[in-house]
Amino acid sequence: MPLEYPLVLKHLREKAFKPGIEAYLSLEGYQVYRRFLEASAESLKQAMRTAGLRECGTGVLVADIWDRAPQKPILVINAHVSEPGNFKDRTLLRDPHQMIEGALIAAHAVGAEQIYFYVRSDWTAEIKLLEAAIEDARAYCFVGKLEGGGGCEACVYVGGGAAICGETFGVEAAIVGCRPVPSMMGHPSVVIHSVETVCQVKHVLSVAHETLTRVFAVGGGVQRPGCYEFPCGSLTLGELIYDVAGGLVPGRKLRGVFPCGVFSKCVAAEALFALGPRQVSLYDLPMDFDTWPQLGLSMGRGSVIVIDDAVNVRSIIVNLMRFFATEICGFCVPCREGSRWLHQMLERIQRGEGRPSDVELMLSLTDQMRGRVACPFGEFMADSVHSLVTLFREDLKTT
Amino acid sequence: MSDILIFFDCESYSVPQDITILEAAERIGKAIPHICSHPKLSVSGNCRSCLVEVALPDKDNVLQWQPTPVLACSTKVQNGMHVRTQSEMVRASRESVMEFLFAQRPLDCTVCDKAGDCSLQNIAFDYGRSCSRFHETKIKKPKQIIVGPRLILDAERCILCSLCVRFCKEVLKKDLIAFSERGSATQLVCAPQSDMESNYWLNMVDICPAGALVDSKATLKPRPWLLKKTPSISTESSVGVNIDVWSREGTLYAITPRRNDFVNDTWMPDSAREAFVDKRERCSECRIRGAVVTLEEAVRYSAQQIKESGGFGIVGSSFLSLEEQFLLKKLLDSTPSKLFWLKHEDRGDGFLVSDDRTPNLNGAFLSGLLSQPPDDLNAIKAAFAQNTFKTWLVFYEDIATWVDKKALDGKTLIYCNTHSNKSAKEATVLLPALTVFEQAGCFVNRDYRLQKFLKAVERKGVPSISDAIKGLLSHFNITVDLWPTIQAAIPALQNTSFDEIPLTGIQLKKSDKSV
Repeated sequence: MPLEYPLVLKHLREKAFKPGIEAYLSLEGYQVYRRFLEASAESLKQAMRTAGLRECGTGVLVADIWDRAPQKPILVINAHVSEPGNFKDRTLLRDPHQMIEGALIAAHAVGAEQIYFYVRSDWTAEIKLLEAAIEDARAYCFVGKLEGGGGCEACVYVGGGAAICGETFGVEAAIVGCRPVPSMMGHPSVVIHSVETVCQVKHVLSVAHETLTRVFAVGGGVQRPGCYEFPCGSLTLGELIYDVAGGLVPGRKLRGVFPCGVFSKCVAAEALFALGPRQVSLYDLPMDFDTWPQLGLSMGRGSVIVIDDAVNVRSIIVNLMRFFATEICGFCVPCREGSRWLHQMLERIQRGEGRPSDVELMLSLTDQMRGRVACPFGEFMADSVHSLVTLFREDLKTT
Repeated sequence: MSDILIFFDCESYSVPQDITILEAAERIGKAIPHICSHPKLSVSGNCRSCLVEVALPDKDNVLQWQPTPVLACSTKVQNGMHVRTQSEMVRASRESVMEFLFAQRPLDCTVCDKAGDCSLQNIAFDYGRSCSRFHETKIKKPKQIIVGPRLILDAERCILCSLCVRFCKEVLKKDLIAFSERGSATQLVCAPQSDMESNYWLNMVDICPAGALVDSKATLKPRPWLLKKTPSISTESSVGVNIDVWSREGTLYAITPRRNDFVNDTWMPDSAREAFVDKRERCSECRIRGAVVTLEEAVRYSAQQIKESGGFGIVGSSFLSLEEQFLLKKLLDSTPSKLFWLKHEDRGDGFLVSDDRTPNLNGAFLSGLLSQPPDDLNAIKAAFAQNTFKTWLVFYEDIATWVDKKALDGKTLIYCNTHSNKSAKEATVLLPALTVFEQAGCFVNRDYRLQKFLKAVERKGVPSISDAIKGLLSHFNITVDLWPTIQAAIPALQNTSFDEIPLTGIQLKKSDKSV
């Protein structure tokens, strides 16, 4: 069984951990920030490149993001990711100083003088915690403009709460006070990082570079759901589900997995994948950045959702479709009209009024949406719903 | 900038750099359906109906077709680019967009005021499905929401293309209407705290592609295909807004803006849209002291009066067309007369309504009638009071309302106007005139752009001002060959006949002045 390697989750793993600044300072908090305050942006970038740290979700190298950063950008820490079943960011927000320290280093590297912690409006407890943490950090002069120039301001920016506000373009629009819709009119001068990435920034600089870790949020039909941290690529999906998360409840059977979160395809338990010359079962796929895109799945944000045979799959699909239909921005026609249509159809099927042609029509509609929507969110929805309907075709048929 | 080579459906075309595929297609006459794009507004890309297949050659000159279609309205052309506008994938994309658009939408073209002039309807004819796969209950949204002084919104018909929102933001620089809510509940609303003050609301009716925004005063008009469209020029101000006049069987029904990138882009003020509505009585017959006469009799009598009185005063007008002004100049030069001119000014809005509320003041400069901005109100009053002239020839200006009744007595007033007013009733000789919609001619706008207007409706039996002035000139043994005279005076018009003047006009210079 692979051993957990908690870096980002280290403090949260300790039962006695308090999120206050004194506790954090006693655990060598802000040491990395102090050490690298004098370092040049170039050396920080080099350190990221050597470590190979990637932005969680997109998989882009952090060093590349920093290279492409505009002049004097605003650093936005996107704590608004509202993917159902992904509780990783919310967990990490309970150790706010770790995130603030990482963000300060990242701001230093890109030359940002302002950090926005862009948090979902429903996470009120986390917002309070973060606001208090920023004030504490200000009292210790980590946050705020320094007298002799330099320094970085930070504040909490409460987002709208819809999933679309956490997508890249949604963040860009929200930061300049616009509706979260894709814009062709250029982008504001921002650098966007996810919560996990800025936490990792701190740890990359503080520990030996070989151990780059990833946090996975495992949920659904497993015995020990939760956040787990492992060195990148050190374990397979099977190990994650069965060894780390305790496997399924005895007597239940695995039906499908969302290996990359619900914003990607659902995969059948018995699916085989061609990985180079080999045929690999789902369980043997390594949880790293490069394998999944080869299989036509995005790496996602590190959430794994397990579906066993005890749940009503039809309800899962209807619930997920309800989420998609209500959380989109409504900008482009295929996504707006398609999601509403699919949602109405699934609600009807749920009521037991299904028609024989429904499944084929749903597959046809998701096909019509693919490649014709304005943003990745619509593509995710089409992929996700298409895979679910294909996989659980029989469950959707009304008897 | 040099042109580049681009291939549309395997045919090569040369197009300028830095334009989008959609603009390139329009230039070469290829039809790419589009709903949410407008040449004068920013790109939005939300309707997804202009998707085309695009390929670029790689370094071995092998075409690499992109796996998904791209937006023609936002993708810039590149040298060697191949575009498929009619392929199976493109057709499927358009059909799917149409299916999504019409799934929830009411199919009420038959009762919609936009039908016949509706881009959505046109595209639906080409790419719509003949039967629906939608078996759910259609979403109900509010209808007949009043969003502006004359604007009614049907939220069910609205396809959220954001054209009207972008128009307000980008052209008016004012958020009159905006979107509220999100996702499929998105709805067009009046922006809160908006003062609703605007003279440009109805442009949103023109650009609305789906008949969701309707002009409350323009409903239940004849269908567009029953109407004739004639290019014309608005007489509201010296901007010279280009318009289309919609008419049927001699009746005018509507005025809409006509695109002219040099003048008004594609917009027009609301205040100019009802220029054809005039409740006053028309002057349609020549009269001498109230008795109906023929034009010959009226002109003969007028010429006789002019000759008898020695000199006479002329009150010209910036509402006269360029042709009429040239004729007037001839009359001024060949008779013992003095010209007076009035200004009509009011505060403009800095956009499409200027301070000068006449269409053709610069025409008077070009024809040599004026050499400096006119302001002869007091001079006219004084001339009447001091009996300088016994005979007056007045165009349009309602002088009877501000010249003393006593001063008018005993004078021979030859008055020319389209509609009846106090001066027309006081006139010794009344000569009728045709409105701008009933004749053709030219105006010169504030930027010295010569623009022509065409005859939209025929008004039989009513002589034009040109006829009247020509008649007067003939009594002084002068015949005018009008167009050669204008060409001689304005060098830019050499070798150009009236028919050859483009509908977007000809840019003249201030120095193009009649000697």
